[in-house]
Amino acid sequence: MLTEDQIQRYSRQILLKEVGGRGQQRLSAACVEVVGASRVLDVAVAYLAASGTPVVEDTQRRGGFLHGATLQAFAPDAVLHRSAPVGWLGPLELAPASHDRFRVAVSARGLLAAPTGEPLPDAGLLPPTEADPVALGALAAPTGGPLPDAGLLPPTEADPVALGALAALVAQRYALGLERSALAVGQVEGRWQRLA
Amino acid sequence: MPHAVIDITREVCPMTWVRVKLRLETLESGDTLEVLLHGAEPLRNLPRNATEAGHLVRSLDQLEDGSTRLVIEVQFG
Repeated sequence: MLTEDQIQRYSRQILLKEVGGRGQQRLSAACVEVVGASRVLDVAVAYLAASGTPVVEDTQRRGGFLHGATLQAFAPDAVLHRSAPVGWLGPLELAPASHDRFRVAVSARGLLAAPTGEPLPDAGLLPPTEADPVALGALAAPTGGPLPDAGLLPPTEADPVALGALAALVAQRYALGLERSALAVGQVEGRWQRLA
Repeated sequence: MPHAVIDITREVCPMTWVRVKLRLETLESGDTLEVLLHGAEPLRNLPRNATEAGHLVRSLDQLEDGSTRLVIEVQFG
């Protein structure tokens, strides 16, 4: 049940056909775990928290423009716990209370996502990049598995705002039940495209 | 008799449709919701919003106090 504050705060997205009151409850019941520090994740966190999804951040998150106080000031529903391990540049792990968990992994030029229990799409689907193929392969680490060293990953080349917003959108689509299977999104010739 | 009634005469757009949409989501297909509204904007928008959302507008009546009674039949999926 949405509170009056939530109805007021999220009224614009409740208006959306794909969201409504039930969808907003699902977004608010979800929980995103953000591990690591990057501008992409900062953007993704901002979008997710502003949509009412509680965010769990790690204890040693470095850099970025979003910190706990800032985030909570504009997203009061964002519940911050700082306990996750550091060392992974990209994954967002969304765990809606009443839905399957899934993982969104952000790579140098795109993102891969899959519900828990299903493998991430082949990283080879993403457009050619200077990224170390070992690092891209590491994106396929299963949920719960050991996290690879963030140092394996190359600097992000994609626009961090675009990629962060895209990661948040994918996470929201899983939470809303609009996506149920694994997917890969990458930039091809300057345009974001669904690759699988 | 409608299955539910909602008074949004003190609301302004877009909260008028937000309130109605949330109330509709609590009902079952075939149920009817009576909406009491006031002003030209919700009168113009709400029947269209309801129709675009797949519901049926059953009636629209002007009341003596200047407000309007809109009856929507819920249609889901």
